Amino acid sequence: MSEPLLEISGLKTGFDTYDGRVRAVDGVDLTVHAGKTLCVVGESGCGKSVTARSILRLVEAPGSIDAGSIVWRGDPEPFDVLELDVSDKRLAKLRGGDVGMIFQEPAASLLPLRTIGAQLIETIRIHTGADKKAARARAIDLLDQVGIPRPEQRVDAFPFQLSGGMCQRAMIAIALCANPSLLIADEPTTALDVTTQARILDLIRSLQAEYRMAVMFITHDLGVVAELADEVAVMYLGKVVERAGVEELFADPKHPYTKRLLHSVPVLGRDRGRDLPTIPGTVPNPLHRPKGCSFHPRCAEAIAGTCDLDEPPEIDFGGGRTAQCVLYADREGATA
Amino acid sequence: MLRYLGRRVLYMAATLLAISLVVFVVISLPPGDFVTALQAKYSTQGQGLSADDLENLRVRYGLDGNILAQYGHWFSQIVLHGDLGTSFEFEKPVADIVGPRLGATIGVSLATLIVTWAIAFPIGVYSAVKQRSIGDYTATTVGFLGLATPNFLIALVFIYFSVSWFGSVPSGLCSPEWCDSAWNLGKLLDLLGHLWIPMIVIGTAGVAGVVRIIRNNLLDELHRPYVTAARARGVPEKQLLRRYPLRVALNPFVSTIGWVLPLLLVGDIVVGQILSLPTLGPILLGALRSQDMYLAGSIIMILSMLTVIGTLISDLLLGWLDPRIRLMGMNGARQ
Amino acid sequence: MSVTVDTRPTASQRQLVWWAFKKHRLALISAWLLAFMFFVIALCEFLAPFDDRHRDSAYTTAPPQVLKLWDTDGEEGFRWGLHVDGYTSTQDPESLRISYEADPDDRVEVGFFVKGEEYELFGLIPMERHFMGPHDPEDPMYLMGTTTDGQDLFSQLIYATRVSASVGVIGVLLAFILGIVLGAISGYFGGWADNGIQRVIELIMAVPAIPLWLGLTAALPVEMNPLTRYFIITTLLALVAWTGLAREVRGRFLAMRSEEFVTSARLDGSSHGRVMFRHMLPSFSSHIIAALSLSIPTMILAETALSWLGMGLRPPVVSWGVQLQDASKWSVLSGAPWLLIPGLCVVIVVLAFNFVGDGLRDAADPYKH
Repeated sequence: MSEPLLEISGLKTGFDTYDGRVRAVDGVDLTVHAGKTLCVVGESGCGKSVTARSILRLVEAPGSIDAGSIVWRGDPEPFDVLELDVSDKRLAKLRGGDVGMIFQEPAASLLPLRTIGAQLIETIRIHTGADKKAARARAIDLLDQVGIPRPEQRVDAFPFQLSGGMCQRAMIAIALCANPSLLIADEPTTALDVTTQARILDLIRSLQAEYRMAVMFITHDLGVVAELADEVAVMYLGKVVERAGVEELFADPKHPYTKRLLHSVPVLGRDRGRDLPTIPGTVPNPLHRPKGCSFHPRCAEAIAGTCDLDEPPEIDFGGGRTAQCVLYADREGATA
Repeated sequence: MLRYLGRRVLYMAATLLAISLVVFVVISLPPGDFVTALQAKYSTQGQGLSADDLENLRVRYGLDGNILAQYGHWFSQIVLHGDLGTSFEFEKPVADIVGPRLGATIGVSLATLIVTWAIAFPIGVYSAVKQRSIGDYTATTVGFLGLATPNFLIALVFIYFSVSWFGSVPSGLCSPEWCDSAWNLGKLLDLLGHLWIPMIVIGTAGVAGVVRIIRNNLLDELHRPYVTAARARGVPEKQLLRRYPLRVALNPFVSTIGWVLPLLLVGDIVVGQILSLPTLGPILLGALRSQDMYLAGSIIMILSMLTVIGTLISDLLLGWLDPRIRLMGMNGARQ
Repeated sequence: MSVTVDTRPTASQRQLVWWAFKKHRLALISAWLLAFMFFVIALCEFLAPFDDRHRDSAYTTAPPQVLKLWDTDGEEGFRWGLHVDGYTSTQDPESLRISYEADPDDRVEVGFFVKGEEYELFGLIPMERHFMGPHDPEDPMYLMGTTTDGQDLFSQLIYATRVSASVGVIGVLLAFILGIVLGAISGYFGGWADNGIQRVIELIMAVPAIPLWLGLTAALPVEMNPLTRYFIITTLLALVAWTGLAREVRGRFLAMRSEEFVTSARLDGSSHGRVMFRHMLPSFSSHIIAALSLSIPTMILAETALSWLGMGLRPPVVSWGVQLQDASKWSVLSGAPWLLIPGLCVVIVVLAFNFVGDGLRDAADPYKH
């Protein structure tokens, strides 16, 4: 394993709603290793996006981060992002400098009234202090790298003149402008059609190799996980329920949720003429989180009297593999 | 941009044509025509008009044909000769009555518009950025009150306090000693000393409305994905506010000219009289009361024209500000 | 915000709207206030101490009286009993103006359910009892003072509330019918129908509303029957004011036209009319109600301004605007500030409608916040 670049531990982020505080992220531990790809996977509403946003302190009112630490090890002197003052230079350097971020809706993530060039050049100048001319040259170069044809012209295009895929490429160009060591991609392909999706994934992979950066990829698509990930974290209702290398996860899922998740992916040939297996029920309302293990109402292997009462223990299988499930509680090295 | 501009100007011309139709309907609505009214007036003064006189007058004013011909005559007189018709109350060409007051109307409205914007913009931005602060609550409350209070009521309250405290009502746009003098610093200061009263009375609703628009738009924009995205790439907060959400909220602000201007012109009609302003408002009211329809219709026409020109200016500004409109037409921005 | 918190509710849309509305405290208070206003409107004749034509030339521009529960300056000293003080008048020798002052010695007995002028409740039930009034109908009881004509401002205000509020509500309903039909056609079908309707709307919007209203009402003959005038004015207000509502409805239809449930309703064989008014309209009915209650103030303010200018409703019909005409002369107003009370009513009612509208609009999007 390579060096840890980012260590999230005990992260809790909540939102105030009319009906009380919703804990969207409820004690998440994650580690991103330098140069590797971590995929965070889960159904919508499981807190994966909020986790990603917490890293750069982008959670807005009525939401706020309640507890935990997010340690950045990309600098010679590691620091906890959550302890920084909002005006701290290190936070400013992190945002868009060491950490690039791309989002789910590429077109909405760009200001429609300014050209993509203007927004790209602005970011380049903030992080590199280049003059206008140099920044523009760099902008065109970056647009070329992310595969935008005729970058000299497109640099002056407005976002609404580009397709969704092109906008996402522009967003990636912006994220890359200061040679980041981490790229956070928050469901970057969800809003795109399948062909574009594949091209963007290819682009991210090749850029990752070229820039030797780590990628934290948030998705609900297990196909994307299989294609991209080195490591995977499965989230359910604000918690990481399973953590594994990508091959291990697909070959030998531990947590019942992961098993059912993998089971509900259609396989060409196998599933012909059969109903696609689904996970019964829906994700519970986080305001009324079930007692004990939050997955137990939907779990086929739930043990009455245990799963509906006690928080499941975090089982460490060694080598970075963990699962939060009582089924493995008698294993050696189990920590409650 | 040129195409956009051409379309807007063409569109403005069409609107003006349509407005002229509406105004002509208003002019022709009261029973009897101008000549009948004139005859009635003369006969009360004991001077009858002969049938020949009446016929001549009818021909002169184009009242002998059918309604369409009458409209044609009226319209061509305006376009070709700048002849807006004759006021039977004043027995003078409408243009002679309206002309001198037009400047004062435009002046008061423009001054109020600028002050309205100058006051409303910072308050609106502050209110949105510091949402739920004491300042925001104050601004919102005052804004609500301002929109709910008819401007004539503001004028009445103003007059009540003015009379109980100072024993008199400040009126007009200039003190008697300056009114006829040539322009100089003294007259300007005197004018400013008077102008603030109609500004407050006429402008309150406008300020309240613009504050509300800016605040609501900015609040919407502050939570858009592009703001988060810009923050995520390290754009400093002040620069972020200025270049991103504020930049977008500027569009509805510019388009407020389309409704603030009519609001101000209407304010002038309603309170012009009690504040004795030398503007078009009081004349319009008098004309309407005595059914002096050429005069009334012309003033309505002029007010509508000012509004349409205001809208054109705001459209052009919008086109300049918003590339979606410039490049894709109006519909681009509405999505 | 794209960070969505998944709170899967099991409540109906209507319940959600109601819950959200209840949390908007100002809106809730305003709703109660408006309910009270409609109650007053319904029982107008009963609640007003005097008829709206009642005129007492002995007391013109008399100041408001204070309702008292007891007095101490009678012959027996302290004495219970609801009453107001009568007036003594003095005439200024120079200006000849008569002014009135409360006279503690002149006790006007006030009671509930007293006999007064005859009227028909709801236009049906003949009655002569009034909720409150002087025991002797000839006595002065003017809780808000009198007008320059010697009419009871309080009674007039109650009648004026009925007129002004109903102009607002009826006008908006008329505008609403026009707006919803044309807006729906415009937004649903698009194309040339949309184009045509939009041009008409833009034209109407291009002419400043108040001058247009003024021009139209100026054409009405002065000697017209007050009730006809009332309806014509209301219609004229609606004819100019429907455009905003139409735009709102159009926007909603336009946005919703491509939604899946609309397509599926069409594919299920529903007619255009059914899709529009059965499927689409109900899905944004809360928005429509919000837009309605937000347009009522505009109507009320327009009517008030028109009537105040003398171009709208005219006596004997009283509306807030008609009442405020009395206050236009500063020589009168300076001595009789109570003449501005109807203005206070305008502000309160307009605010109330605005708050209710805002509350509804926010509540209509329960997931927005």
